[in-house]
Amino acid sequence: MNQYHEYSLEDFVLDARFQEWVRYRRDHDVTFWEQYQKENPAQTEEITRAQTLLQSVYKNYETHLDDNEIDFEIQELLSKVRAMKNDNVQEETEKSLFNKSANIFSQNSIFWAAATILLMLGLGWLYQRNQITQSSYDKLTAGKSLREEKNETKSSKTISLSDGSQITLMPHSKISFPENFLVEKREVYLSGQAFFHVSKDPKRPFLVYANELVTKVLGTSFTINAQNQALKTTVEVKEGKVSVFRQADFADVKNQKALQSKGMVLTANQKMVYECETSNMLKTIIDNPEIVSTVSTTFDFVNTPASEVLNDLEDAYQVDIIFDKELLRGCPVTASLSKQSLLEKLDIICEVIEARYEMLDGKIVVYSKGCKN
Amino acid sequence: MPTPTDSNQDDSELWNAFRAGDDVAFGKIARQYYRSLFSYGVKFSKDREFVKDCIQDLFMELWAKRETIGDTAFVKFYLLKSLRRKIHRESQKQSWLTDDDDLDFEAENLGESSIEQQIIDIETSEAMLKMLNQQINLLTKRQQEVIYLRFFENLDNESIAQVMSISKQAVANLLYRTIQELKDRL
Repeated sequence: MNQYHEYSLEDFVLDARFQEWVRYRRDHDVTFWEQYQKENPAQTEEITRAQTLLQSVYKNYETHLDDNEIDFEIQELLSKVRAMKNDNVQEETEKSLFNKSANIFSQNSIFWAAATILLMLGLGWLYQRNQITQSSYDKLTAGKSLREEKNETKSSKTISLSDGSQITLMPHSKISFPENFLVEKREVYLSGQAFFHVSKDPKRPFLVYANELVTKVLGTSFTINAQNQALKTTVEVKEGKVSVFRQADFADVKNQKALQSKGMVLTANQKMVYECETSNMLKTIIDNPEIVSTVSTTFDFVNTPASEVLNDLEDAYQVDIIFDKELLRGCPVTASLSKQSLLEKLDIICEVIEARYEMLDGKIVVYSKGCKN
Repeated sequence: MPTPTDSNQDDSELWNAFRAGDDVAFGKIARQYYRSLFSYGVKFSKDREFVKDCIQDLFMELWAKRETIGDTAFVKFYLLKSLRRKIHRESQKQSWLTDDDDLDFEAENLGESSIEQQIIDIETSEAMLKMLNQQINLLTKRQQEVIYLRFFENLDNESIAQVMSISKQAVANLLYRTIQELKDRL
């Protein structure tokens, strides 16, 4: 009848009902366990010790969080969700944007080289947009009290900002910024190409307005290349993370947090292509992903399960690779892949395990039937 | 402090409503898991606002792919795992000066003695608890995380394995070893 008779300390601490008793002291549990101890005095010592052990764990890891704090966060979440619901087009983007995060099987140990975000904002001059009579740069800077720096030379020019950030302005580019930044944010306006060393200040995001996009970082280094009146704008992240928004959305939403749902987050080796005509932001992998991890990996595999190989690639390149972990565990890979690019590595791996892969939404999806036969 | 119950009738109704795009249901679900997530998150970063931001992102992602999401049984550990991964990524990106290898799991209120009084009220001596707390902090980060997930979040070994990206057997071993160590120090 009683499952607890054989229990030792180890069993008690792992028992859900026992845990609940120690943790929440609910009446019915208290009654139950007091009664139990009375009836089973021989186990009292084990129970007391188990109780002590659990108590100390609970005490040690207790987190204080007001219900009010939670309510506030939930409200904020819901306001973002509602804003999203009102914007179906955007929602579609978001849906595809995140459809991999569900991949609970992907490994995570990440070794970020933390220092540099290299962000390329390249432009395709496919054709001119007739409707733009005034450049977005001019529009944005008009009427504002800003200092403008132009680089008409043939070499780059370095500019220091009041917050300690440094900008390397490329030829035929110009940038505007206030002499002193606002307390809550740092805004600069770019036309052309520039490399940014942004001093770290998480409380004061650094925003670069370029063409119809706003790129947001908290502090790091990156490059933006943006000419006026281009049809396509691309943002490439080499390392780290940036958020990119449409200016329309950015201006629309007062609340910084509500904004997050509108933007696209790009991490290492991801690229975003923005098409002016449709206002679509499409996420993909950059053409030639580089290794981000600071931990050197040899990529020499001998009978290594393909699942581990792909995990190593995920870690090294910081790209999400979606695959069936269980299935690919049964696919041994023996290969030396240190010299190849990411895509070449994937080609070889897929060749070996008779799988194929696709780029989807800034992620890599590996399709396999397994190797059990 | 309520415990989330993952699998009763109301929950699955709530879940279906959420998947159909009901934001009120979504809010309730988020509420249900918020405390667990936050409590877990602050073990990796003492920056509470940062953890909150990560949780916001996490839920926005959940919302975005609500139509393709599966069984509710996995929600909790899926969220915990995603949060762990997210915090790891974000903190690696933010702390460009330090380059830690893995997340540091530790109690957020080390050194403080603000405890729920009820815990002390039980017949155990406070000195014993203090001593044991020191012992817990001597455990490796992984050991601490495994007992946290097991004792605090009531995850089974399978789920813990998923969250921590280690094998189920490794979880069982780690858990057993950790309990043994603590027991010996009692």
